[in-house]
Amino acid sequence: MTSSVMERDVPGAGRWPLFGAFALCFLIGTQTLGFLTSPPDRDMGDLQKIMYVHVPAAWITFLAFFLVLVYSLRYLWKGQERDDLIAASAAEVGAGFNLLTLLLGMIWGRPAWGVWWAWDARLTSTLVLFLIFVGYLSLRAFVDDPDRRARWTAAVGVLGAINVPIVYMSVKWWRTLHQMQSDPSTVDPAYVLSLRANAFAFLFVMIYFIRRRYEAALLERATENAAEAAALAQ
Amino acid sequence: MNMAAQNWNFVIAAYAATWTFLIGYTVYVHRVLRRARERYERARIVQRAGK
Repeated sequence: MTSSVMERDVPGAGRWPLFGAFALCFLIGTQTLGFLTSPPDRDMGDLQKIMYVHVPAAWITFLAFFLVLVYSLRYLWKGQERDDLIAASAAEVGAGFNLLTLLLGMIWGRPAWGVWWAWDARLTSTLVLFLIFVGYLSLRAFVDDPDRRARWTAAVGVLGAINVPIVYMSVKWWRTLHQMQSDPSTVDPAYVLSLRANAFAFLFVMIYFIRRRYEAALLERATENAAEAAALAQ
Repeated sequence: MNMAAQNWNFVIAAYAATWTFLIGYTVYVHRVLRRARERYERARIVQRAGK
């Protein structure tokens, strides 16, 4: 038995457009900071500046898929439709950031490694993660029954999110082309502030995207429920 | 073209890809939201008319 989205659950935009504008301005500010304050890297030169978008995009991908895990498990446990819709919104946004991570990695890889793509453990596992969530979104598009759709995609979401630690640890478990994990302790102090600031900017953007996508999903479900109620009343 | 200029081309490509994604997804999500709200308002009108 699932708990359905009702008319009272449908939110207005509230202050979210303002939050979106703040996230946009913050991101412009942090990217400007990265360009103006970070010196060229000794080995990579100005290519290092790609780190400010590639690394936060990867972190945000992991975080979005962690949300999918949490809300999918909550849905399977409590059966509340809202949890399914949050998981689906996070999955869509996470898949977008996942694709961006792959693209940025390719753009960085070409001058750094001499190839656009290599079947390296980190790259391959990130691609597999992306394909799992493409499957998740395709499943949502093809299954009409809301309960079945929610249960099936919750299972796929949990399985997909379990892949995240494998992606994260892949550079330790299989030492291949990709460098070890980047975090403020492994990065030159000259780059730490910009990296942290850009990570927060991406986080704010992710929150905004998930919230607005969730709002649209709530409206879509409430519309379906209203149409069902109208059909039953006739 | 020297190495430094080539590197800048890749940096510009990376930031262009990032902003294309961010702006593209913002436009997409706002379009989905607007259509969902319009459909919801129509469904409510139909539901009220049926009561």
